[in-house]
Amino acid sequence: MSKSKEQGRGESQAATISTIACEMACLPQELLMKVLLHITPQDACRAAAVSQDFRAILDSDTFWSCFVPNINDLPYLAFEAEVFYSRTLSQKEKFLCLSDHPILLADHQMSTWLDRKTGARCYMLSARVLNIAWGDTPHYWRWIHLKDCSFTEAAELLGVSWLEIRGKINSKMLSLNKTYAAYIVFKLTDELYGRQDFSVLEASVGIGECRSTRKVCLHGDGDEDDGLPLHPQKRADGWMEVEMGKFYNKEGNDGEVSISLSENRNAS
Amino acid sequence: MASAGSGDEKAAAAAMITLISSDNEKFEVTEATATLSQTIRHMIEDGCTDGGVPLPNVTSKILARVIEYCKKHATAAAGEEGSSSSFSDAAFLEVDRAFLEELEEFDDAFLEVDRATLFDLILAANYLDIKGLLNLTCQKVADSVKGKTPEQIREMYNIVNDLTPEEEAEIRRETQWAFE
Repeated sequence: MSKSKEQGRGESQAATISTIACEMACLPQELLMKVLLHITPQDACRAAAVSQDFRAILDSDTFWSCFVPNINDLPYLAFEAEVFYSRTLSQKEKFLCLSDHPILLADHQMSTWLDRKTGARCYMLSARVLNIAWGDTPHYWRWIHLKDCSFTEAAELLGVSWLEIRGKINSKMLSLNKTYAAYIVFKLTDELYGRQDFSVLEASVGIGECRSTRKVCLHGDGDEDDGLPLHPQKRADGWMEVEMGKFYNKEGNDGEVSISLSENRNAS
Repeated sequence: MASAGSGDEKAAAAAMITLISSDNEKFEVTEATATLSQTIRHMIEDGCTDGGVPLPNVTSKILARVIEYCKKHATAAAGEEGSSSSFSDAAFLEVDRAFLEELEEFDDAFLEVDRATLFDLILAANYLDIKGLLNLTCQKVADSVKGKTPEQIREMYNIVNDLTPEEEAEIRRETQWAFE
């Protein structure tokens, strides 16, 4: 963004308004920035290839800093995350890193990343910070170590008469005015397959008074008839995930997002 | 000046502002309408609106549209204030929602203009410092870029590609996923 260019454009601005039809190219750089601040990261990465003016704006720190979370808004950074924030990268580079690799927060029990299409802040909670019914009874659940995962531990179900898992996250940590979906990420072991019925579970996601409930199934390769109950999908990392529900994080929507998965109380 | 107890119309009639476009056309508007523009609000506060407010950067065609926007949004704001005292919370929410829906419909219809007018509105909203109008018009342009390739954007807005082929290739390489 060269300064001389901006000034040059400013002078011709008044003439343009009254004479020829105004086009995007005659907007002063400062106004083109205001327009482009409304586009998504994916559109921004693409539109950077339009022209020099577009590129100057869409590679700038001013544009990307609204997507990269301020380090002060992430109070419980893990060591790796601190290292990341101490690197001298442009805001765009930081965004691209954070959309590629989650960073760990809060005693390694939570990770965060940015969705590269929308720029929304996303999170994953480790099993340790979920509320698992009977989770500390070794007869029902045991804690196992993970390798090559964001988190080092997971809860393995040995068999339980009442399956119930709850999680929560403060809506202030999420991006405003975005539609979010909550997923449970899991793997099924062969031993468990016959012992526990995961064909119809009740998933519920809510914020404030808005709550949605749906039926989900944890067994893989379900033929997606009418999509109900919802079947899981395979993730790139080899784990499975099933969408438990969606919610819209609107402004002033204070409080906690609560997410739960449980056996169907009214099972027939 | 009108006292606090007088009706809306009386208060409005007591404070009219004259706006003068670049082509010398005069527009009479209420102070409530005019002060949606921070630029004009400051002029009023400084007491320099006697004899009208000259707006050399805004044509009469565009100023008429801007005033249309301000009138609607000033009325909506006044309506909301008025209703809050006389309705219960639930009723107020209902009224509130109806207002918002009506405003949204108005905004959508307001944006149905040709591209040149849209850019003129952006320039005017920026010059007059009308935050709502600037956001609205910028969002409209931003929406038109959604999902478009660089070629489509250039064509749509007559933008000359002044990047070298090497630079363009570098941008595409850097964020390949965005182009897929």
